[in-house]
Amino acid sequence: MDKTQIDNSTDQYLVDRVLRGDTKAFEIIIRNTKGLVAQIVFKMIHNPEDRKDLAQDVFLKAFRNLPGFKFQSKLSTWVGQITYNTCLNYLEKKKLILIKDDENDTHEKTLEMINKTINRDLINVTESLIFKKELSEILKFEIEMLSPLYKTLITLYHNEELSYEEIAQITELPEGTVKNYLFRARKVLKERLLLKYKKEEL
Amino acid sequence: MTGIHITDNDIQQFVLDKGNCSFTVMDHMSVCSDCRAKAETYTLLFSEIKHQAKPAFDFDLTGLVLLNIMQKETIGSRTSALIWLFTIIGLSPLVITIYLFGNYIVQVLAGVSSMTMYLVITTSVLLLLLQGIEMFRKYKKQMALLDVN
Repeated sequence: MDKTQIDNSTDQYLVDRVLRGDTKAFEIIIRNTKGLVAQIVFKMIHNPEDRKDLAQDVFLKAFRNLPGFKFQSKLSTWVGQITYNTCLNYLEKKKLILIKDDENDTHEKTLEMINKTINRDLINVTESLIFKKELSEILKFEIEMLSPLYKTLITLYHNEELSYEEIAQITELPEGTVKNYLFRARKVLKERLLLKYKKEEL
Repeated sequence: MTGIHITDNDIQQFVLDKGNCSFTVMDHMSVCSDCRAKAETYTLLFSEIKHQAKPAFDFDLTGLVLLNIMQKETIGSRTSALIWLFTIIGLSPLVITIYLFGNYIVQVLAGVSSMTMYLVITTSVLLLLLQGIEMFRKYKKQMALLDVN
């Protein structure tokens, strides 16, 4: 039995148990999927209070709509889809932008940060480790600077290691569009990191 | 190094999935140090993104959701009990009237012509139907306002 079949039978078992009134099974579903939900919510929503409300809302919607789940995707992908749509509706209501037009412009604050932290040669191992930590911090900052859609896609693909197909199901975008956005998002990230930072230093 | 470089997308594809790269891309990468350097940058970038700390909620999400579900279930069962209670209270005068004055009502109705009877029944059904549609429309509107999705 391959992994997909195991996932499907586990999903089926859990959904059946929830539909028979077993809330413990729903607890397992929350535990299995809250990591993915957190990734999407944290990347798309800035306000901590709203994140809290939206995360709860996601699972309440999942619980309410579970009888309609058709097993056409993994349960986690379905929950991810609910999360993405809930966040998207929130952004639309708040009139926030999903993709920025000036995605290629580098943020001034980032430039200052890069200048302060990396403008020196790597001499020894200790510095190399510090550099690694700094790079990680800068990257974290730069990912945060991306538009909600780009940072969500980057995170789902590279951090959550989802396939293009799964990301397409979550975002309800064509697979080609997902690939295209991801190519652009990575390029933007790379260019921002390289802007003040010489290639040799990376 | 060659004069014409491959695109950034090709370089990303090379880093992510060498197996599906065209011969042209593979060939170029084997001779072009500039593109190889770009590929190295992407390799480092992808590795760093992969190792970024995963976010987590700083509150008991599972507990809150389950509490919410249980509260809603309790409210739901209370509501259905109330609906039954009000239905019984609402119907009891009608049942009592029919029980006490059933014979008299039958006598009165027997005196009414069938045409009048049909008219009364049709009008009543039509009014109930219109009222039902209006109630359903209002309910849908309110649910749309409440539902975030």
